[in-house]
Amino acid sequence: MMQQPISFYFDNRIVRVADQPITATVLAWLRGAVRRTGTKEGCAEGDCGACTVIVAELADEAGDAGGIRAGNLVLRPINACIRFLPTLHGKALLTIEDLAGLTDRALHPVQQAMVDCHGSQCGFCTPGFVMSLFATYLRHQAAQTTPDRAAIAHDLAGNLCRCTGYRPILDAAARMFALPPATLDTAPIEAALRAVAAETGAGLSYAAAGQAGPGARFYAPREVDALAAWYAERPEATLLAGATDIGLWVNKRFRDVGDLLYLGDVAALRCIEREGDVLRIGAGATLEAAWAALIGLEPALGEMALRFAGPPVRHAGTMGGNVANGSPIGDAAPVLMAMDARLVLQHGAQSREVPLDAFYLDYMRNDLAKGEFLRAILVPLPDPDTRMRAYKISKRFDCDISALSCGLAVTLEGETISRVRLAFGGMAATVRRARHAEAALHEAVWGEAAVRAAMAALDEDFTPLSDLRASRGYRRLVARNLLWRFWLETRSAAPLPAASVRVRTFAMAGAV
Amino acid sequence: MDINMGNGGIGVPVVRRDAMAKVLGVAQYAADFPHENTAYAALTLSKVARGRISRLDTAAAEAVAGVRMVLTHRSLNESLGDETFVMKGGHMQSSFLPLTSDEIHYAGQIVSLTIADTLEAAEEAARLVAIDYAREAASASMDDAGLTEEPADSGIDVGDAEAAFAAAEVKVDATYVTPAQHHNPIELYAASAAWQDGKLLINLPSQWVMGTRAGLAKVFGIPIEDVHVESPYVGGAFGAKASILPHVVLVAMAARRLGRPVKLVVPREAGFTVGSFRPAARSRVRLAATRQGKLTAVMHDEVGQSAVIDHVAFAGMEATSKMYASPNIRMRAATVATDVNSPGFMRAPAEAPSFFGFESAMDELAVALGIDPVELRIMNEPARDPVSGLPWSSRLLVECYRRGAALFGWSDRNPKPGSMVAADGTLIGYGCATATYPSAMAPSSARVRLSADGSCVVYCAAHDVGTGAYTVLGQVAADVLGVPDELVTVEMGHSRHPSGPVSGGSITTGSAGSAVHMAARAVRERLFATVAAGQDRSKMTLADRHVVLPDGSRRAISDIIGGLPGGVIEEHADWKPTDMDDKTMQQGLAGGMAFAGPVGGTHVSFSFGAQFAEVRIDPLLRTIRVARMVGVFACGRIINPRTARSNLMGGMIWGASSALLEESQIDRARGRFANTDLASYHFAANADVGEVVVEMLDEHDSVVNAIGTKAVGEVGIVGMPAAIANAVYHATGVRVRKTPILMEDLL
Repeated sequence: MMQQPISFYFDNRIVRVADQPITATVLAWLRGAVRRTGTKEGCAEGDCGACTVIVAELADEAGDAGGIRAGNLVLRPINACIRFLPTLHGKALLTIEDLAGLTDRALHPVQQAMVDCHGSQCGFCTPGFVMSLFATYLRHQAAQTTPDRAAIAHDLAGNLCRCTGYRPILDAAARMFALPPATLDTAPIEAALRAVAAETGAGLSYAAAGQAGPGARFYAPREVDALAAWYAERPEATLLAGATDIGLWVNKRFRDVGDLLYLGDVAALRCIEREGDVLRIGAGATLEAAWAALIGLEPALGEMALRFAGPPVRHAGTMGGNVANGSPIGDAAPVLMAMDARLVLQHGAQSREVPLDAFYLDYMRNDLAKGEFLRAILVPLPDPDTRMRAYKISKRFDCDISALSCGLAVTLEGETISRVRLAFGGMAATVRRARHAEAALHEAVWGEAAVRAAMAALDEDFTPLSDLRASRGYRRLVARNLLWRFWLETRSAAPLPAASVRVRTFAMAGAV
Repeated sequence: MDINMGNGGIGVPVVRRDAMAKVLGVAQYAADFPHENTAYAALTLSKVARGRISRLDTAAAEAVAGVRMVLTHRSLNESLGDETFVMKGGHMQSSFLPLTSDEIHYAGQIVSLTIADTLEAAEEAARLVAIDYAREAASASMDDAGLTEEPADSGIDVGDAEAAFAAAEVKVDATYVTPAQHHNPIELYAASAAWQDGKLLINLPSQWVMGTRAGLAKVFGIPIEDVHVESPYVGGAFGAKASILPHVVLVAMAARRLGRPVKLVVPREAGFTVGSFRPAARSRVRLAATRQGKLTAVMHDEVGQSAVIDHVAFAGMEATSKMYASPNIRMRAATVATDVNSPGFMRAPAEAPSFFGFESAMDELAVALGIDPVELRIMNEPARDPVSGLPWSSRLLVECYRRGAALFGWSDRNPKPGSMVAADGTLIGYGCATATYPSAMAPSSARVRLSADGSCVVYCAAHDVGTGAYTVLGQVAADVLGVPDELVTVEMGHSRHPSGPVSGGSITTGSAGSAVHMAARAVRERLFATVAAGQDRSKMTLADRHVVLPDGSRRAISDIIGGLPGGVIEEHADWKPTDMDDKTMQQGLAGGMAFAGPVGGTHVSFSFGAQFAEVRIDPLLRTIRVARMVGVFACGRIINPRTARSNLMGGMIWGASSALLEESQIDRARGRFANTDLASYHFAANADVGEVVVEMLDEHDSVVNAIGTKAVGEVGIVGMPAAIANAVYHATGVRVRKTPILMEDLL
């Protein structure tokens, strides 16, 4: 494949970058190489959102839903601090400096509303909030809707502010729709992206000028076969998707990740589609898209999807990455395990299927062979008689790693449990099912006695650790109580309404 | 532009004048300033908490292409001026300057500064600096065994509190613990230094440009006027940026040696140890009362974490001693030295931890007495400061409670713990607590220029750290000069401006505002003198860009000033707080720390507030959510209700964060902070914040300063942790005497 510069749309034109290392971040490039300093660094690990920018790509190339549509573009707010520059190839980058140019007024409505509502104090988080709100603005402008306060809060879950207390920013988000509108003209961006796509051919192969050897190459094929073949030949390379983990390995752990094989441009891997009685989630589908698809199967997953991560992480990271990197506190695996998900693993031209509950071997170790990659997650469509919930318990409500999380499902025949899946994260070295508790419920009547027995059996399943997030005692107690809560919410007689446990719903309702 | 700017002046909710630059992304913070030919710096930090460097090898680091310098204790051999710790009259964040010896005093201490042509090279080289340590046992926690308490002050004694406590009918004796915390403004620490013709220009986020200038002049042995400190925008500070952090000196030194500008942006995790933090504290509070609820003894013993390198105490008993009427008061502060970086100011440094314990104890007393917590506080309202016997300059605490209780719906509260339950079983708790903060003052200068077109410029080396000072100081001038706010420009955050005070202790509006007021009045006097020499100036006014003469006739400012040489009137003022002598004032204006108050010669000045919280606790999961907060405050005159309200609200959310989330956890085995990133150092995200109601009472204080303002920036945090803890008790019957209150404290 021909060596090419990284080509993307920025500052109203196509820019070509040939001098940056493959792990140069978008933020470092903006602030250092082109001195666009409006985008701020607050943490360099995707926690604070001060570096939020918008990445846009052609909708017909994007391969998955979950982004924001404007014209024929899909736009996504992402954290520039953990996004590697070569992944922008063929895409457009919009930053805080671009907004005022979208209107003939001094300020874009998002910016004007932030001024009017006192949404900016020290101002350091402001560009990130403005860009997140810009994404909100575009989404609702396209759909001709206006968000309620809860929806605004969801959209701002990935941005931290230390001054305002957030209320004025939420006010600004409501006000921006009342101001004279501004429209993003997508035509010039689309034209530029088509031009880049035409010259890219089968994909990007990039190394910084003068760099060669191991660790210098960034390869972004557009076809699965090319990806599989390349990886089989170079299993020491690192597979890169949303970089919400790998960005931290580079920025914070200074790990040498070697050559990077980017799967974000393989449209086939980003597809989410129904195949018979299975939902197939391509390994490259964003978390945003994948969760939306799962919620389509099981609406009770909505809360977990929102609390999984803030929008800039959900729009960048992939569910495949979350599953394949396999942290014991990963929040997707318990949900998928409760749904009997299977994984499609591919090595070269060979592929195989593995049940997710057999995939994790030990702490941070899984069943992937060298050169093998996760191609798709297969989720059987749930039986209509299945009752399911997912819970996440963390210290902070948003943007926090779980102390524990779980996916819980029972399928009933009448009131008898014909199938039960109780999968927990944060309770052991890997995400795994609580087999003893499941046994206590299997073929029992879905009632208080069986639930009590299952709660007791959880002690046989898990001996959780005490760590910074929670103590062993807390984890034990709350794991049991989550089972109890699951029953309260899904029992046939007088179930507890789900809204009462969605604390954000309640907090927003009370807000003024 | 369709911004409603208002007409300026005092009391108007003028839109921030810096908001536009911030929403456009063009406001330049320290890390944004470009310098030609800048070299980049990266830090290497100590991995051990105590000991010595036994081996140091910089060869690999120096071999990295583009590396220009690796500064270590071996290569730093310059003689530096003897500048001291900010709490000892100097300007430094710590008495200890890293790289001046091979000793390690705390984990995360700077052990080398690497400079290179690119940031990537500097970072790579910094990782290649090879260091072995001769490690010694260290204690980063004040709870470690074998540490001793040392008295930090002589205490406060009124009457005989021990005897009164022993004899009392009802008493509370409990100990409350608060953790170490870090400011974590969203802006990282940064510094860039350039030398030109022996003069130092430094860009950094600063709450004290004048102090930084004075301190750096002393360190480098150059005249004070040869140091220029620039900090026009500060991305949050909260006390973190109120002194000179050691890396600033090192960066300036490297720039001088290299003859080239050097820039350092301190990564988030390093920010936990290259600057200061709020130290852990333990408050034992003893309260005694009659059965009717009259306090007979108030005792508060606080032990705070300090550092081996800097013994420093932040106990808040100056404030807690003044809260309630009691004939017997006894206060003692002590410290425990630990192997940590020097603690420092963090938003309400003394008051926030102290009031968590003190106001929790008041709630415990209310429970013991069976008296409503609001009423208990009101019935012990002191007519005068119970310690000095002096009158208050103003104190509307009772009014704050009455109004707050009404706004909150306190009368709906069933006093029995656990008695208020939502339909779905959620436990509901109501709690309240008092907030206060001293209204101290510092001397300040200002210059005000009025031009013929009616435009006005205010110059002052004060700072807008997000508080709204750019806006508020302009309003003071606009008010005096009768010009619309949009014609006012405010220049701050640069040491070339007339001296301004440290932006700490909630003093900027009162101090710099008084100086602006004084300078603007001088401008007005000149205007009056010019237009009508010999007329009675007390009967002249300024409005709508016109001078109104005693006979009611009007003269346009443009006509008056247009005829003057230069076409402007410009006046400088040096403002001195009441009760401050001239020498102290001059020290303050020269960049020294000079405070007057809150206890003056004739009055005692504090801001007050009553704070209320509603918590909701899931009975199964023990998750705690703050559903509502109400704060009613009396802070003197409010120059700008919009900025003041936002500061108070932000403070309350800090209080909620502190109550439920914020803790710098200590890895005791390794003697270091464990959660040094924003993923694990939790402060409130937007979903953690429910409804917040803030009100400011219309309070007139003619004593505190020329413009009648009291402290706003910090008081909002002070009562909130206790109000939430008290609400948690009310919801569950579980008294948690520590913060953060975690789910598992309610098992």
